[in-house]
Amino acid sequence: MKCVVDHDKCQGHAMCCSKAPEVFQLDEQGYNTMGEFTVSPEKEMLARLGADACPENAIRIIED
Amino acid sequence: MTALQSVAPTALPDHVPVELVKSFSFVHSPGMDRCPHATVAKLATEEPRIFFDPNAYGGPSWVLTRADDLRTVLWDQRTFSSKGAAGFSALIGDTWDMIPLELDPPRHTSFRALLNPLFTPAKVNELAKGVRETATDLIDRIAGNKQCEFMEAFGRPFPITVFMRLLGLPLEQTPQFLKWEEDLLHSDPTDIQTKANAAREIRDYLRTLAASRRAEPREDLASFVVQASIDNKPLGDDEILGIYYLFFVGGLDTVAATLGFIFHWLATHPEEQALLRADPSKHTDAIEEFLRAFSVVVTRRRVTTDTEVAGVEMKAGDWITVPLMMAGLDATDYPNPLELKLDRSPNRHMAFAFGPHRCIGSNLARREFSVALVEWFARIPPFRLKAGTQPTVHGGGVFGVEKLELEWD
Repeated sequence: MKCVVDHDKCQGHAMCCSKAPEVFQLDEQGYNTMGEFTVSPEKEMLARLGADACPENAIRIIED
Repeated sequence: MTALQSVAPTALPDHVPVELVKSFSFVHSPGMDRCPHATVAKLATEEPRIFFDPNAYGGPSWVLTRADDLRTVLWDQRTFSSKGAAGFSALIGDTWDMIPLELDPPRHTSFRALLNPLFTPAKVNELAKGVRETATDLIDRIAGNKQCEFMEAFGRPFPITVFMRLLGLPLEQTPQFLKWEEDLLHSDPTDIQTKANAAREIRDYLRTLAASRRAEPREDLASFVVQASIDNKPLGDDEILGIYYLFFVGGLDTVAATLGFIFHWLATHPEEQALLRADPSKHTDAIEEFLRAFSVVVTRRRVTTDTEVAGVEMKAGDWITVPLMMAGLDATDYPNPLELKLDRSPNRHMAFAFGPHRCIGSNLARREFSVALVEWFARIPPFRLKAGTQPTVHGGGVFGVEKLELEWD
C-alpha cells in the first residue's frame, strides 16, 4: 500500500499525526510533507485512519 | 416558527435575486439564546442554500449554510479575501490587520511561515506542563465546594491564563484581561462605545508591551514577535500589534465557549460522562465530536472579483458570512447532526476552519480541551446541572455560554 500526501492541500491540522504518529510525521512548520511513500503491511490500518482524518482530504491511499 | 423570516427587499444590490433575500440574526433570531446550534442547523436543511441578509450584523451579507460552499469559499483566498474579516481595528478608526487572520497571500503565507512553528504538536507538548498546572490550580480552588459557576471558575480563566503565560504577561493582571474580553466580545452588540473603549485599551496595552519587550527581551512569545523578521526586515509596529491582538482575541473566547458547551453536555449526559471518566482513551475522538457539534465561530470573507458560488452570482465587494458550525451540522455529511456520537471517525468538521486560514492555535486548543477533561474527572466527582438552573447561552460571532451552574455530591 502507498500513501500520497498532497503538500498543496495540507494545512497543518495535524490530524493524520494524531491518529497515526507511527506513519505520518510533520515538518517544523507542522505540515505533512512526506510526498509518496510505501506503508508496511502492519501499519496499513493506521495509515487509513490517518488519511481519513484529514479535514483537507490531502492524503490519498493507493492499494497494491 | 422558522428561523428564517422574510424581509422587504428594499435597496437591494441589483445582482441579488429577491427570492434569495432572507433575514436571519445570529444574535437575535428566536432560539439563538436557548440552543444556537440547533437553531442554525435548520438553516442547513432549508432553501435557499445561500441567502442574502440585508440586515446582517456588520452590514449586508451573503450567508452560507452548506459544508461544500464553506469549502469552496475558505479554500480560494484570492477570490474570497480575509481583509477586514474581524474588524476590531476599524471599530476604533485604525487600519492594522489581525495577523495572520485578516491577511491574504503573499503576506499571509509569510506570516504563517513565521508563526506556525510556535504552535506545532511538538511545541504544544512543551507547553503542556503549564497548561496542566493552570487547570489544576483553578479546579483545586472549587473542588471542595460541591458547586460552581463553570464559566467564572474555569471556562474563562483557564484559556486566558494559558494565553497570558504563553505571551509572558503577569498573571495578577488576569482580572483586567477578563474585563477587556467581556467588554469587547460579550457586551450588548449594540453598545459600540463599550466595545470600542475595550478595543482601544487592549491596543494601547499591547503597544506598551511591544515597547517594553523591545527594550528588554525575555524568553516569551511577546519577545519572539518583536525580534522576528520577514525577508530580513523586522516587523513593523502594526504587524506586532496585529499578532498580539489575534493571540488575545483568538485563543480566549473560542476555547472558553467550546468548554462551556462541552461541560453543559457532560452535565446533562451522565452516562456518557461516566464513559469518558472511565476511559481516557475515548477522549480524543470525543473532543473532535464536541468540536463538530459545538463549533462556535462565524467568520467572514469579502469577494474580490465577480464570481459564482453554487450558482449564486456574487460581485466584487460583497461580504460573505461563513458560519463554520454549518459544516458539522450539514446532514449530507452527518445524518442527525444534533446527535453526538463520541466515537465518530472520521470527523472532518470545520471548527478550526478549512484551507489556508486553518486556526493556527488548533493544536493548543485541542490540548486545552484534553487537559480540562482529564483534570476535571480526576478532581471532581460526577457533576450535573445545578437543580433549578438553566445555562445562559448566546449566538453571535462566537457562540458561547455565559453562565453554567454545576453541582456534585
